[in-house]
Amino acid sequence: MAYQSPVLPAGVGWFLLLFFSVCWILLGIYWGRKAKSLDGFMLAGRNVGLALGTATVMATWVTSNTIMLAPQFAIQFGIWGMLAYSTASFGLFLFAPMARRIRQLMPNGYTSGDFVRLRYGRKTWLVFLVITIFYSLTWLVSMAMAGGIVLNAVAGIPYHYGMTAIIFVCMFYTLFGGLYAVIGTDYIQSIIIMLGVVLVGVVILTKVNMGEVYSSVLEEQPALLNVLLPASIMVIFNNLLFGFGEIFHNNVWWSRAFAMRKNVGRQAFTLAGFCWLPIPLAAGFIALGSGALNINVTSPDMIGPVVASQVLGSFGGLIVFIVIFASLASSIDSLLAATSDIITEDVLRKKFFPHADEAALRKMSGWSIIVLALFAWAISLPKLDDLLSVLFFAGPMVASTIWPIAAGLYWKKTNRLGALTALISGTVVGLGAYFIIAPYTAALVGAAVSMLVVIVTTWLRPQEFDWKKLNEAPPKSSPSDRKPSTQAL
Amino acid sequence: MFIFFQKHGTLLFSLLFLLLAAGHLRLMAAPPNQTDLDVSFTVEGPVSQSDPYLTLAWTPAPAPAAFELQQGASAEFKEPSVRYRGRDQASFVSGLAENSYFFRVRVIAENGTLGPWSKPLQVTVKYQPLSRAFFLFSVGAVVSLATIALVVVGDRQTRREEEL
Repeated sequence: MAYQSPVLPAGVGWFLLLFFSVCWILLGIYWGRKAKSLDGFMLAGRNVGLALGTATVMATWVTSNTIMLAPQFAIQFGIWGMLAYSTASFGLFLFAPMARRIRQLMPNGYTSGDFVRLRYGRKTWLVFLVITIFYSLTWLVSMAMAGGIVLNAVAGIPYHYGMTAIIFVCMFYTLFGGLYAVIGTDYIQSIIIMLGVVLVGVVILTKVNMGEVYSSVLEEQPALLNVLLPASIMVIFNNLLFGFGEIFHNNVWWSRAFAMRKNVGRQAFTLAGFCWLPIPLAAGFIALGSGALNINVTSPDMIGPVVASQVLGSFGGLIVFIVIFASLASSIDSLLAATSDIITEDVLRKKFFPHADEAALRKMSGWSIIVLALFAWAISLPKLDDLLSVLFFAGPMVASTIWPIAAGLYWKKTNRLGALTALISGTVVGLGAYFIIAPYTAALVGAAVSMLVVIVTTWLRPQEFDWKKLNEAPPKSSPSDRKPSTQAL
Repeated sequence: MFIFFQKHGTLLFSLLFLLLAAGHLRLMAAPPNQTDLDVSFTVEGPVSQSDPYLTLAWTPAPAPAAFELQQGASAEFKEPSVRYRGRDQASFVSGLAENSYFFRVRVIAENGTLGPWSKPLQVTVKYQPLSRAFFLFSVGAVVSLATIALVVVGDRQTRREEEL
């Protein structure tokens, strides 16, 4: 990786890393006392209230991508890019009514995979599992890479050490506390993130002259102000549809829908969308000031943290470090928990151990967290490419799930063959667009093809579906397990 | 002879020490080898692309040094602008309008010695057609609105069914 001058002394960086690592692991152990049953470990007892529900959704959606990709979008695609990134909040708004519907149709559900299996059958379920596990791993790897990149840029901690520390700290506290620990730490992390981003944004506004920023961009980077820049025009709906696909299909969001109390999900997702919306705008603005401030970045995904650190000096570096750690941890733990749920419930229980009781499934869930963390760590070691390229590649797969999921929740007549064909054709054609047109068109094309297939097949071959089939019985409890928690988090 | 050294030993020793010290300092201050000052971009030009951004990276110098990156409108660099001067070994450049650009980089050694310029790198930016961009924008708008309509209408219908 090309040399980028750090802002914080390495000793300070190591101290902060150690401090937060110990705190988070202790919190995981503390909250883990509640996570005895399978429902407790995987779904926090299905009893999460509005405040924690909103905080966990917002914190999970504020990933390091928000802090790093939002500025990258701004510096690559200009004004449109900044707005394009903020459209990702629309996915949260739209999932709000869907969360209610999911809870209503599947009161004993565990994963998004359960829904696809029961709604569309095994073939579609297998294709869906490949897509969702691949995407979850991609997201996890991008988070781990981001951790290594930022800790290196801000505090000079070697990439491999920083990346390793972030992923294994998250693994440990998720292992101890399950979704209780994930949601509990999310609440703290959401406060840190909001305070940190607002603080950095306000201080930068006081140090940066808006006229100078505009003049600098106009002179040095004129294309960023060009509203007819083709790349920017293409990226707007690509990002919005990517956001839809990510939220509609991924078990990170479905597990929260299952975890929240009845009627809380809709409000929590809506509130979280509004809380999240200004964050990428603030982060994007920071990037546009880099020219006026004569700040050099060696990689576009580093522009946010580097500008914030260099403008604010060591104090800024400290804030950036803490905010990045919080946003990374809040996303990595969610991914580990949700992906292990998919593997435990959809792969291990359904395929290999259909008679496993709750205690056995709880153990399998723990082991799958460990395996996932190790796998993500191994893939992140070589630091293959910048973050945006990694995520754009998964875009068409994710976007192809939008209509099979949404239509599957509301349309009785959407059929199995249509859903399967939509997933495959959306992915294939979207990947074609990735290589032939541009990476930032792939999700849009994938979503369009998938939508067309679902609509046409529903119209040509309608198939009546009985919604009661989605209400599957939960796995048996072993005598030694406690009942699911009735105590609010 | 021996008496000469006895009498003037301290002086001779001091002179010897000074000569050695001067020689050592001269060695330390010797201008860097020519190879320490050579630098080149990591990518071979000319580059053609449709994106308005790219990362320019160059080979690191073996000794501690800074770099100077310049941008010009032609390979002669008649009126170049300095894009970056510092220790980083890459620079992300964005907001490029449709045009041809030329970049070059050189080493600035610790003692201020300037290295030779690298071979110029030509980058030509030609955007994707606007018609394609608007077509994809329209498709995206239709898909997004249709998805929103599906969820909103579906939600209303299910609520109505629950009330019934």
